Amino acid sequence: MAQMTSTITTTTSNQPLLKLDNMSLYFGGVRANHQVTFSMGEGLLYGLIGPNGAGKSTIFNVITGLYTPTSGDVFFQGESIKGRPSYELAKRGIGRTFQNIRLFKELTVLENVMTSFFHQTPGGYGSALFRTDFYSANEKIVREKSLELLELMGLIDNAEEKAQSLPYGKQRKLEMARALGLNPTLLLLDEPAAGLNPSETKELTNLIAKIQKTKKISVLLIEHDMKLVMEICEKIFVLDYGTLIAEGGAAEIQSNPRVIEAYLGVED
Amino acid sequence: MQKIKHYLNQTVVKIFLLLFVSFLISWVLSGFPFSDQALSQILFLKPFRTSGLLSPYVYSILILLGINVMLSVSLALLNGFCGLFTMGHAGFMAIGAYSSASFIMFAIPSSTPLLLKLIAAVLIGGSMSAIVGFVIGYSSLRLAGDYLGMVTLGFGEIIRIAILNIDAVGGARGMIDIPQFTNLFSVMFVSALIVLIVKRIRESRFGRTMFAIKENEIAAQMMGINPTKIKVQAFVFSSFMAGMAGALFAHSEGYLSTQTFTFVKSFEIIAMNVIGGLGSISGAIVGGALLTVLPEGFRVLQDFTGIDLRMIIYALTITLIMIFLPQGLMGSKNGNVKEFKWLK
Ligand SMILES: Nc1ncnc2c1ncn2[C@@H]1O[C@H](COP(=O)(O)OP(=O)(O)OP(=O)(O)O)[C@@H](O)[C@H]1O
Ligand SMILES: [Mg+2]
Repeated sequence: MAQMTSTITTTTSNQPLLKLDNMSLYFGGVRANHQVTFSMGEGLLYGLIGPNGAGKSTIFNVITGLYTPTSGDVFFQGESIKGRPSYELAKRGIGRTFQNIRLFKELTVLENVMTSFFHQTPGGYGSALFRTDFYSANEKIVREKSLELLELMGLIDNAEEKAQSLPYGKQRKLEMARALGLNPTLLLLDEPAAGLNPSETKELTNLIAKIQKTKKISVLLIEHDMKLVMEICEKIFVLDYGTLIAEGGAAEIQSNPRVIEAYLGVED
Repeated sequence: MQKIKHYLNQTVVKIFLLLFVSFLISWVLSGFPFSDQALSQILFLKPFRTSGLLSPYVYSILILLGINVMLSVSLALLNGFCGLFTMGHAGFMAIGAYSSASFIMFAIPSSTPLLLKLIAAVLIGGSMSAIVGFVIGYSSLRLAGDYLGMVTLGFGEIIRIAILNIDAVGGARGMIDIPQFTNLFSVMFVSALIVLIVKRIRESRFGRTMFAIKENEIAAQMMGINPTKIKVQAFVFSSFMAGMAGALFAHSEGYLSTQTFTFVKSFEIIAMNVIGGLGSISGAIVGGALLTVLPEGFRVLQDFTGIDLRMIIYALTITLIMIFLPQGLMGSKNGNVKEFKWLK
């Protein structure tokens, strides 16, 4: 069972968990990301903000291996992950949610979370076909761990429902629960509060902060809700037209003239 | 250790149970024969089509039904579970049929006991097909959707035409005098075994992963799942089972022609899945049975009317099912596919 308990690789303190080094990603003429450089430490909550189309989601897609940078490099735990397949990065501990929800709609809520334990579970087809004790024991552990995560996200009552039957807000929470199943060291949340009402947003905000603290993971949060970001993020990156225009604490960001300029007329 | 044995035994017990039930049904359908000779005919697979409750015609239909169920259920693993629309399933059946027929005819002495021959045939047919399935799967699974369909359709035809050009297996004349030892007992047992395998896969974490890939491949990757690997594995399992079906087919007819394995056959197997309801094992079984029995059932009508209305009615029935039950007999729009109680 050793494989199932997360082994959080402790990186040497001077080495960032994630580092983008002059990373650019172009879609033909569109400069979605342009020479972005930043780094993230372990166990902190970061915010990533910027106007629509600034390239925030694209950064997530680069970090998770969906896109390969046009130039520059991306380092995770000190190693270049440029060009690595997404599933390998997920196994290494990069979990994410999607701006446009991507659940396994026809699986149950519980099964959705259980998929994230697939690569962490030992045993091949033989044990599954003969349904050995070994197999059943592992299934049980996965089930329990998944139920724990559902409990944490307040989805326990929906465990046996199809994912697609969940209301919007709960679908977003399910995506988070599923990503947490990976035992990530880095969690990327793409607009988790989109479409939620103020009280739901408040609740989710607290939940994200709590999870980040108790699980001691690093979170990078894309969010349009400024209040939310300013409230919980220790450090904020601001993106505009694909370029990083500012980084720092909430107060610093709020008074930064370039940020104010970028957001002029983009009331939120 | 004790417990592992306990569970292993459970599955083994299940398999023996399947064996016993298959035997029992064969025995009943053969009209409860008590002579040693008749019993050994069922058990040791002597061609057995003359006596009993069933006419030879019905007997051969039942065998065909079993083989079609195997093909249909094996394909369900690919298109129902993984969402892979492959169109070359008849090719895998052909490889199973020709490789096992060649092995039995050319590689082992004809005095080998029939039971051993049967086991060898099924394993050789399945393995050869699985090897080709691996190669085809590995080389084509980077493609998605329609492209995968097209490529597998091509592969299916390539297999057929390659076989057509091998003189040792009869070329265009067909392969004749293949030892016949497939009987109702063996067909029933192997199809039950295939259903059990596919059911176990569906229930397992592998099945869950296949459905996840079908529904959202990108999200599946973000869960640490390598979709290509899982798909290739599904391809190998599916082609293995289609190969077993082909082997049993070869030794039931005693004659093989490449004409049997054209893309028309592949489409027929897809139709079985679609009519039964994609994603449902029960559906694949029902579809396979229906598409075997329907065309035969209408043969009676032909005697009556004097003209061959079979294909017209057959096509009409399928069209009606698709109009009134577009998700198939056991399918559903929201993924709540129906299953028989014993397959739940
Ligand atoms: N696959 C793609 N092909 C072409 N252009 C793309 C693609 N994905 C994103 N873009 C473009 O790249 C730019 C950045 O998009 P991105 O989705 O990263 O923005 P964002 O900051 O997440 O915006 P939003 O706040 O609206 O989610 C946009 O101009 C977008 O149109
Ligand atoms: Mg976005």
